[in-house]
Amino acid sequence: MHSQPTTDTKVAEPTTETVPMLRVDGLSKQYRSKHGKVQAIEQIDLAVHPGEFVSIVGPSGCGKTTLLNCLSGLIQPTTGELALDGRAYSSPPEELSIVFQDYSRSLFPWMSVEQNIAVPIRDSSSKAERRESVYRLLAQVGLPEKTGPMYPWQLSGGMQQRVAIARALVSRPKVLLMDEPFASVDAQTRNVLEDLVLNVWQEWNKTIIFVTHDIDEAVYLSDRIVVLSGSPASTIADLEVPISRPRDQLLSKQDPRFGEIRAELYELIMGAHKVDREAS
Amino acid sequence: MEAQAKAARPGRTPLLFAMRDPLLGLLGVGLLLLGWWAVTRGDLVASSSLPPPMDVARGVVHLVGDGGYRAEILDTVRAWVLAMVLGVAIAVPLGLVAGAVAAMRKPSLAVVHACRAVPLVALIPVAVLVLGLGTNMKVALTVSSISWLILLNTIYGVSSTEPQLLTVAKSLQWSKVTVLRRVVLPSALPMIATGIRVAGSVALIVILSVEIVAAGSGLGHLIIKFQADIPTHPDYAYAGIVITGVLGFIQYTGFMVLERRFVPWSHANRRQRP
Ligand SMILES: Nc1ncnc2c1ncn2[C@@H]1O[C@H](COP(=O)(O)OP(=O)(O)OP(=O)(O)O)[C@@H](O)[C@H]1O
Ligand SMILES: [Mg+2]
Repeated sequence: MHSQPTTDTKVAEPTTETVPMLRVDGLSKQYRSKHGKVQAIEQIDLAVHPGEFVSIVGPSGCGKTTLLNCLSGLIQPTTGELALDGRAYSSPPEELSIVFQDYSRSLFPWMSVEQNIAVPIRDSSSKAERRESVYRLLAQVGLPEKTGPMYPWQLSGGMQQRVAIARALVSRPKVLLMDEPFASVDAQTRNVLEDLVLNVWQEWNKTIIFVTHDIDEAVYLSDRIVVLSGSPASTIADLEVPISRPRDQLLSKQDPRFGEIRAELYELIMGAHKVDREAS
Repeated sequence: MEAQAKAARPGRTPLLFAMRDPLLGLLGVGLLLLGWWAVTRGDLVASSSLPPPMDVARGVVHLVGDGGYRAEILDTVRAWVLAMVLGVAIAVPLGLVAGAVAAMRKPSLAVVHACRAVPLVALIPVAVLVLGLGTNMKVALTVSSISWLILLNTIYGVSSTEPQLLTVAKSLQWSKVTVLRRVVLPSALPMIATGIRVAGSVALIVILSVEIVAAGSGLGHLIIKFQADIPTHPDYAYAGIVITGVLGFIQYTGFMVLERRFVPWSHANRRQRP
């Protein structure tokens, strides 16, 4: 089962007839607090196709986390319609999993690694099934079996993030939402984990929406990159990444198109920053 | 390197590791004994005010060996166990509710702090009048002085639940009760355990004080009797104090060991976020 997405054909003709895996129309979000109203998202439309890898980049504080929280159903958008595989939703759907930025805080410290990974399926599966899934996933995310009975706080940061990824996969979701998942691991670990995510994506044919502030990471991973303006967020660009798959940390980054897209993104984001500063 | 676990110890902590602090404590006790012995040797104090350690040790053996005295000691232990069980049974559920319901948190904290400020001695006469001089009075006074401690720790434990974990629970669409059981309670456990451990020490102090001041039974009652009734028995009085110390040591160590065994993550978090 080799389902290597052929990016180039996808670029050529945006699939208008297939139902998007995740779709949002006219999304806006306004936070109301004691200190007044904050318009976090101005207006965003987005359609992510089945099996697509989309990154969301934008200046810091522009509303990326807010967007992801709305997409996941964790917070209610002020306006806008959400649909997963054609079905509207307003609370977290089962077919969708989230990998949080702060992995050390998103794992349960009183549960072993094994129990942590099994959390999403603990009410819907037998003990034997859970064990089976957990140990298959440990192998998939590159953790040795002996980590199963350990506590998350006995693991390094990179290993904890692997546990978080395994947990997100255990319920076999169609869509993975990842919020700057590798922002706080070192550079080498980050590259290893990027390849891990790409492997999972290709092998399991997932749809992934990946928030990052790292331009290189976005270009390396994605089929498509959505660039957000400074706060309040709206889409200012939607770029295809026509670099062939499977990607390779060295070769793909030497592709001249890598540099071009990188430069284009850089200018867009710095521009958004500048507008942001002038406005405030 | 990333592929290596920081600690190779899987699961529970071994006993020797859990016993490290108590062993250090024993060393301190040894040094104290040595100092005590030196002071009495040098005739710095009269043996009627401070008998030498050996006399007191003999006193301990005598008190523990004698059935009547042992009954008094057990009376104190029984009061302690009863007070702890009642204190936990009352304060933990109350604290869980008060901490989990956001609207109740501030008002209950205010009430707790106000009640906590009432000094124990103010309650003794009332308690004696209502409950007499027996175990009931001791237990009632003790429960009313330790419950606040456990209650406060429970409220703080519950309200300091990691928000990120609540988000995880929300993304899995767990019901309110499930969240309470699977997230809030386990994250509050370390603080609740600390509250109970400290309450254990306070309870012992309270029981002894009440016994010395007012009660007709118990270890505190023995101590004051040996000290005040003629002929006085300073060695027995001190033996009573030593036994109190041993009881305190046993309960504290017991709680520490239980804590390391059943809420090991509290120590882990303490190490990570000082
Ligand atoms: N709960 C909230 N209440 C009020 N304002 C909020 C809330 N959460 C976020 N905001 C505001 O919304 C805006 C967008 O925040 P958000 O966290 O989505 O940005 P971000 O793009 O994820 O930032 P970063 O790159 O730093 O993670 C910010 O101005 C922030 O102050
Ligand atoms: Mg963010």
